[in-house]
Amino acid sequence: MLRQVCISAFCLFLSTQLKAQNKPAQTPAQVLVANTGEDSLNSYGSAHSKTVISGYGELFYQHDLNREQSLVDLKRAVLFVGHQFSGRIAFFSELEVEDAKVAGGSPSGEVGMEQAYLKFSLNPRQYIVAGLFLPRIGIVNENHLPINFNGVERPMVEQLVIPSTWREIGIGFYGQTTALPFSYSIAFVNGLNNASFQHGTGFQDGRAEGQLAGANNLAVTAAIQFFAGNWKFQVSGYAGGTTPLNPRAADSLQLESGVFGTPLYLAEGDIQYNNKGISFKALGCNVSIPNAASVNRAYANNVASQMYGAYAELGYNLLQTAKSDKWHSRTLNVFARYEVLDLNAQLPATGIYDGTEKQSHLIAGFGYLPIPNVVIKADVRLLHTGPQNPDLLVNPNPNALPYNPNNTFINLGIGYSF
Amino acid sequence: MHCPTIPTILLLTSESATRFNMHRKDFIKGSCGVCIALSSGFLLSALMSSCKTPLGVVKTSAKDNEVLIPLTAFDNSDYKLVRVSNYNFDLAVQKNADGSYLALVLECTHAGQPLTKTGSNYYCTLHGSQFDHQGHVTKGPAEKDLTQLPVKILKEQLSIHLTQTT
Repeated sequence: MLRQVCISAFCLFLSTQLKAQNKPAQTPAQVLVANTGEDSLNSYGSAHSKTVISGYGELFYQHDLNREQSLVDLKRAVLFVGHQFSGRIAFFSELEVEDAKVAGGSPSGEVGMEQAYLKFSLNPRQYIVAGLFLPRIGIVNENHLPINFNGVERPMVEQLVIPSTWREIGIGFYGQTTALPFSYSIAFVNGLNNASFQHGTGFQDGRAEGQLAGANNLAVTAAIQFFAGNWKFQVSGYAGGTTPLNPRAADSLQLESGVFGTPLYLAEGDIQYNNKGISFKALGCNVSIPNAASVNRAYANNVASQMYGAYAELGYNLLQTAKSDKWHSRTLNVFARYEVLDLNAQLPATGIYDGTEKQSHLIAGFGYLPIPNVVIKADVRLLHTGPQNPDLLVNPNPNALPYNPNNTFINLGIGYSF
Repeated sequence: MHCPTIPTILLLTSESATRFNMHRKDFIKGSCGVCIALSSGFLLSALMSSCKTPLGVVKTSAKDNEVLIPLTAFDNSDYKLVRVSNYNFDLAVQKNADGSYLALVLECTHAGQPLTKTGSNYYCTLHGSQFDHQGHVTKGPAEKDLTQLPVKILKEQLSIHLTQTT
């Protein structure tokens, strides 16, 4: 028995050494955890199955000047596990823990699969994904690592109007044109649930995020990206039904059922520029729910028929022109971003206007990356909203201070990805 | 000739809006329309410019892990995208100023995603890693540069030796 174990261990060692000689070096984080030596479907390329582990996370401190309240939170820690079954079939997943822990009965904290899908490569430039994935809508939804966006918080428009990280179960086709710098994607995913829409959070509470999603309704989403020099342009859209009920139940609530019943439409466009340390990005999006009146009649959740958001950001890497190699390899981004959004830009007759949902945010700060995978951030966010609607205060707190439409937040944060 | 300053222009614009009894909303809509028209013009111009210089693509196959490309393929362009049948990733082959050649595997070294060419750089749509035209990491989460394949010149052909990718 001992002899067999020793021989097995020696063979494993020898095999590891041979592979180490034949394969390019990998990062410690991309350690080959399992290597079965199974042949791929192809003659070349990733010829062995392998498992990759990586992840990202972010922690922040926030001081709310109006409330004179500070908060620290391990916002999220995400573990990414991928496995290459063969040259053409792979699995990707991201398991997320939000707010550090989930305790019994506690309203905060969340453990969820952020992604879990199979990827089938058709050729080097086209592939199909099937499972729980993040559709290509906006900038942050697909690229949400803390090292890749300025500011401690994700852009507010990409939290409130386009909820990030927005994932659904479905099937998607991704590709790039061969001769021209275009990327494209189209995906069919489960639809939203209008019964869960809530006043103040746009449509984000209507997402199923892979959990027992009603599939009577579906959505289609598509995006086109175009690259020109240092510019990147994207337009994306989403159209889907929001009533997952069966026809009988929907009829009883006077809601339009079916695959695209009680639809929600989202249109988004963004531009990004990066060159010589200067970065610029701008995004605009519009969400429309034409039958919002029916939703409000059924659930009294004060849903808007239109919401919009837009932002523009300018940044510069102060170390771009550093002459010393020590500093040139680091990044110190200073940035300013201005955002406007309105979650009740248009209301049906059954809606009640809430001025606090019309917001502007001015954020300015910096992010220091001593290495490309670690970031230290600090910024100030100035918030301005419309007036509060007293009709929406059902049980006003007699001790509450008068609503202040202006507020300031001081944010500090760290983030990593590997 | 008097050249109006920006505040003057704003004042004139505002006055014009008042004169023609234009509603604020219409004015904003009109301004947005002009912005969209200008942006569309820029986008169209960039698109046309890109269409003039499409990516040079060479489709080929490998024999004994070796890909051969005629050097004449680089007569009109220093860059070629090479697609090898049954190889999982495209190759970016570029001719350097000193006459040497560089062959990069367009596979992100972070999670093995195919890369997208953006101008002279490369971009990973999965997690946002970026690489420069030499294959060096310029933005994480990737930590390793792109895999370079061994190249040599055999008579009038460029030989690229395929190895397993990351």
